[in-house]
Amino acid sequence: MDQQKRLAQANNFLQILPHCKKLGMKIITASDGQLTLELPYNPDISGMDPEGYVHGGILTTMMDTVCGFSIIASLPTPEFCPTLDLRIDHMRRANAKGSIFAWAECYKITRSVCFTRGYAYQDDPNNPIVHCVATFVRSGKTWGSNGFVKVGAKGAIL
Amino acid sequence: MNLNQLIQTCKQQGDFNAMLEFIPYAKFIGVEIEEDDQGWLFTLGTEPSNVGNPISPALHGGVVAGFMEVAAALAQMLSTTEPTLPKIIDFSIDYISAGKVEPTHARCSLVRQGKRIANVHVVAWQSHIEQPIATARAHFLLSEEA
Repeated sequence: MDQQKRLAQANNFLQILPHCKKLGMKIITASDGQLTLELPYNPDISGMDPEGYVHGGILTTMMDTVCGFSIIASLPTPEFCPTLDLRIDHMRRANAKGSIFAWAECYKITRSVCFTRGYAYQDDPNNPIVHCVATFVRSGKTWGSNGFVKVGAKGAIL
Repeated sequence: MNLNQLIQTCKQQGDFNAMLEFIPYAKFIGVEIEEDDQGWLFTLGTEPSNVGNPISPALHGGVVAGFMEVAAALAQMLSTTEPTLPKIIDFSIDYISAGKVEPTHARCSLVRQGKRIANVHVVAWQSHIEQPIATARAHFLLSEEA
């Protein structure tokens, strides 16, 4: 698929997910099987620390989102794939100021399962804040205007 | 007020939600704490903004994970005599079923409290604890003084 079209499609879909919209997440790059997400800094998302580092839950949310969207960037037709499990390693804390970027790729898809991996960073992709692996289950369904429909059926919104 | 004083005040007043005032993220997703005969019970409210999938609708998996991480850190701080700010090292979550837009509860067990590392297991459920929606394990680094 054309890269610009895929990016626009992925961003439109991200905006209908309430939690992602509230956080102001934005997809900035999308290519076959890979995606980069940007999260602007927000003081409401810090942890228990006077310096206001970003809470781990926000980084897990970013990684769950970007890993899930990397599947949409991989499959020829978008498919609803809920998260089966996710593991996140924290290498260092995210600075209080500035955007966080999260990159993920879907590196293997089987008939039932999608395997993804990714990391988040601020200034330098070679000095990541977190590293993550997450596994998703294929449902065979996709998003329709009135609920889920089978992949390939009429009424799909993606 | 340092961390130890804050925790002591919360314990004296029986109001643990004062701790949440110091965690903007916990307020952002709507976490509450109470103590009952089985220990600390954590509850995630039903804010519409916690939804990740509007069609089912279902909670965002990242919010469920964030709630469980908040619960694990608070349980660790409340369970120790010399609390320090626990720093997350890693977090692993298994999703068992989709979280409905209903109150979600969590209980934690401090599997190991070492000098530097704590291992905390978390179970999250909605209707019955026997039917969890997710289980998780967190490792925290405890070396920094509060």
